[in-house]
Amino acid sequence: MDDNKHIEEANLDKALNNLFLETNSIEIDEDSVRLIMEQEYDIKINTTKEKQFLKKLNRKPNDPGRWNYPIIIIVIVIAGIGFLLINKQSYFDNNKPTENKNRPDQTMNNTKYDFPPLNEQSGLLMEKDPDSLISHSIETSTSVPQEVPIKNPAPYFSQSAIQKNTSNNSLFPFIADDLNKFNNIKNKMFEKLLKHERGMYSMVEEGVIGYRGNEVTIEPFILRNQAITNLEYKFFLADLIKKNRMDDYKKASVKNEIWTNYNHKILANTYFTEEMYNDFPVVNISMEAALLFCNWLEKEINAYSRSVDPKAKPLTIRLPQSAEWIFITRRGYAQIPNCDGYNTIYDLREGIVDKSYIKRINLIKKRGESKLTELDELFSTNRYGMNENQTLELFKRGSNFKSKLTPDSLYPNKMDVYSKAAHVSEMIQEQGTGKTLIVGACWKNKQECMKMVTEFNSASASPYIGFRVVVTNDSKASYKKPFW
Amino acid sequence: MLDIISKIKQKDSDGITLLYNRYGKQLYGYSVSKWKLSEDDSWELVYKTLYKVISVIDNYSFENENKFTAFLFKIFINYLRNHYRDNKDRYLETTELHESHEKISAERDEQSNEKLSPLMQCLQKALHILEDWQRIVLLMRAQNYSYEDIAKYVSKPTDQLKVYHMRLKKIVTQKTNECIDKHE
Repeated sequence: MDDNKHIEEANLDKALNNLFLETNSIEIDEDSVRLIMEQEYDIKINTTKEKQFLKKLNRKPNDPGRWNYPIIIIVIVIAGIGFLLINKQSYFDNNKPTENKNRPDQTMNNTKYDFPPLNEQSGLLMEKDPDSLISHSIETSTSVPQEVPIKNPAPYFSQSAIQKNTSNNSLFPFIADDLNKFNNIKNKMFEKLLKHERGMYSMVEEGVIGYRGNEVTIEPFILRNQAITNLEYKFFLADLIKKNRMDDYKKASVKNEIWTNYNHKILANTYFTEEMYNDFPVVNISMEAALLFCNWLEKEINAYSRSVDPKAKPLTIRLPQSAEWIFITRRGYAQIPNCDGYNTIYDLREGIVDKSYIKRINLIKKRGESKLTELDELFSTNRYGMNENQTLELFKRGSNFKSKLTPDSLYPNKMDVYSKAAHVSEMIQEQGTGKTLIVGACWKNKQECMKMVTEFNSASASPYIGFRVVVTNDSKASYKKPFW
Repeated sequence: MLDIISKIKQKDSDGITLLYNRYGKQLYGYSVSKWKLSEDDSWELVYKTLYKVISVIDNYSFENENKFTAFLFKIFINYLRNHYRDNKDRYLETTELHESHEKISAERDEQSNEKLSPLMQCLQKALHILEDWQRIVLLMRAQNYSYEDIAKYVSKPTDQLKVYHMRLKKIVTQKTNECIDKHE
């Protein structure tokens, strides 16, 4: 049948597959690839063949391998016969094995990697330019970002500089020295943000997800990897005082007294003020306060970036939105606890994350990462009923978890970076409505989580709820370079 | 992901195992379950793909994981395509990998369209008429994805997908044939 003749419906699938191969061999659709690579294929793998496969793939260049022995023997025989025919006399005179110059070339001209050629068929590969099959679809960068250890966001400042007798209802008593110190540290924080320093910030590329029956396009954004810390929030409060924005200061002030509702009287006086808790997530703040922080940070960062580069494009700082939250959890940007209780990251009933997310989690478990990690235990902790030391230990373990994290088998790199995330639940905004949603972390059960949310609604703050920010560049020139 | 790349570049054998565990198994599963290739053919394709990645990786740096995965997948698709070419299937008869495919060219889409057979060009036109989700249904179903799997990506009820699929096949077949008639 000629290609110009009609197609029958029964052959449509084959033709579609043909088109898929044709088009994807030229231009790859990254979303399609992701879909394919994240699928769970119910295929039993023959372990013997798998071992042989890995052995073959790992073979060193001087190791002839099972398949090469017959070739070597044949080559030697042919070479021997040829040599015999050409110079019979000299063959007998020099009866030594000939050097096997016909053996397939086992060095790679175009690569430093010491691997053998595939087999006979691999000649095709070797003859081509190594880049030829794929180069046109790959956007290379001149440098691959190197993984760097997560550093403390900023140095602690003197405990003595902060008055200890903080009254729950009084303004936080910063002194002039503190304000100067804050200014220096604040600039360092801005530099990290502008450089979206790996470890603290991550670049989330654009994408499309299904959200409550609709397709939502996610614009590229920079994600803060962990909750805003006490120290950073202190910069913010200090700046409000410095600029005499006392009304905003009152709205933004930390409701330390809420700790006492949970029988945490010491923490009520120390958690936000003591330098030892500087890197802990700021809690007991309202949604209004979180939005004020975003607003403040946006103005400050834009002013700072313009001072460094007058042509700098303005950035937008805001809370994550629900569709973005789903997107980052689905794409592996957020830590997935192996939660036996009530996991507010992916409650299907609450419409937080769809089924494919669950599937991903199951896939991770199936791939041998099923044993509970320390982080899983951390998330499965019953916060109610904890004493103060236990609460602090929970936060501390959450903050220092990175080095102990078992990598995600699908996204080891992302998991590594984001391991600090979500040791408190977080405030985000619902897509479209701006309504406050509380997500993240695992609770003992739904009742406890609902209790926490009810208490949050009643007091407008909770010691178990913090927030993080996302940064967008709305005036981006193109999708090829959505970040700055 | 970057760990894997740096390990491979450093000739660390762990990198190869990681590469296989992370990508090779998926490609193997994809070959066997979606393209119905034999185990041996699938192993061979995965081997060629990973080998190729390993051998050329020094020449590349990748902005992110998506780029690397696309890079690897494209190699795989090229081998898969060649496999079908070698096995001569009328509907999977493909063009040779021309030099023009290999060049970095802003006009590569136009060039590639010219390489497609009239049937393929008509099929592509017919698919362009459809909405995204409709194309996904057809393409995923052609690759043996279950309706349950497809439903997750198109946000449509599973029980209705079969009906949608049947209708879409009719539409695309009809549009393709109309296009071929015009072509003639």
